[in-house]
Amino acid sequence: MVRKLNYRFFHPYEIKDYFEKGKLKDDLENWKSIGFGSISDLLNICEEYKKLNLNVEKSILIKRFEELEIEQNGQLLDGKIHIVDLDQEKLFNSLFDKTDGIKIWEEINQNQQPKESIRLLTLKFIDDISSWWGEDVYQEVLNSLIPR
Amino acid sequence: MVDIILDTNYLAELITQYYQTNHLENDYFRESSLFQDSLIRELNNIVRNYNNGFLTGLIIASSYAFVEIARKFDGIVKDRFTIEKFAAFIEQPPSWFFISSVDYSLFQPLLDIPGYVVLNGEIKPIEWADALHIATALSRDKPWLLAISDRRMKEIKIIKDFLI
Repeated sequence: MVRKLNYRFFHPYEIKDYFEKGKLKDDLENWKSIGFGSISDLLNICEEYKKLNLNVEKSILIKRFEELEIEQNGQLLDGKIHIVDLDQEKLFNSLFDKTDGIKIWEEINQNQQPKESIRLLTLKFIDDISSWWGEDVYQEVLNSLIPR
Repeated sequence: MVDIILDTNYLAELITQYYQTNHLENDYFRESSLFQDSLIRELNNIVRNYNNGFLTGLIIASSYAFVEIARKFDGIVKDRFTIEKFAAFIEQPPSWFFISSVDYSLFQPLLDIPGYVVLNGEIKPIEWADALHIATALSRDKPWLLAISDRRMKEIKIIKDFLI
């Protein structure tokens, strides 16, 4: 029987929860979903730790990072999370709007935080294999930028 | 073999000069308000050696440095190069240049960078985004030298011996 996986955004607050509690949400733990997160939100955990906004000791923080890295590098359908890096190819494909000449993608501007710019660029939906997680994840990213 | 890691301002100056000169004709980087003697010497060594068939180091910037330029394109670039040239540089950088990914390898280096420094007797925060340039350097094997313009960054002890 083929199981249908749900692809969803691995939200920044879930990443923080993971580092504090050492546990992913049930749908991820039970392989019902794959969570797609941005490298900016993972790296921002270091900032949260240094600014004393994270309730965890450094040794545990590093241990949980290493466990998450192993999870990330697991075979696709066994992995519960997928953190998207900002490499050269992703940078070029996401940063520019090439529909009419070449322009910087209008979503990127200095009114947003740097981590939000990277989040948008890494999880931007481009209609090719480079954003194979689909448009819904990107829509969730956009929704996450709306103040609650 | 020494790598040179550039922050955003140095990267913008490098792209500017790259399009003003012909590196295949031994026309290299020149002195400017940002590019001083020691840095020019190191950058030109890398390019000259590459042109002579030897890879003796790379000039490197984080992919985030490009994002930072894009976020404030007019303010940083000030008409020194066009968006088309900026895009072309990212798509196909020269062989002596490397765009370093923002990825997992920066996690532990970021933890090693302090959250604050003391500058002129005042405590100043080190922001995560600024620290990405330093983490990019720390994530690489030595030897490397770091060209950064932010005064707060220069106060970070673990990189003081590696600034250029």
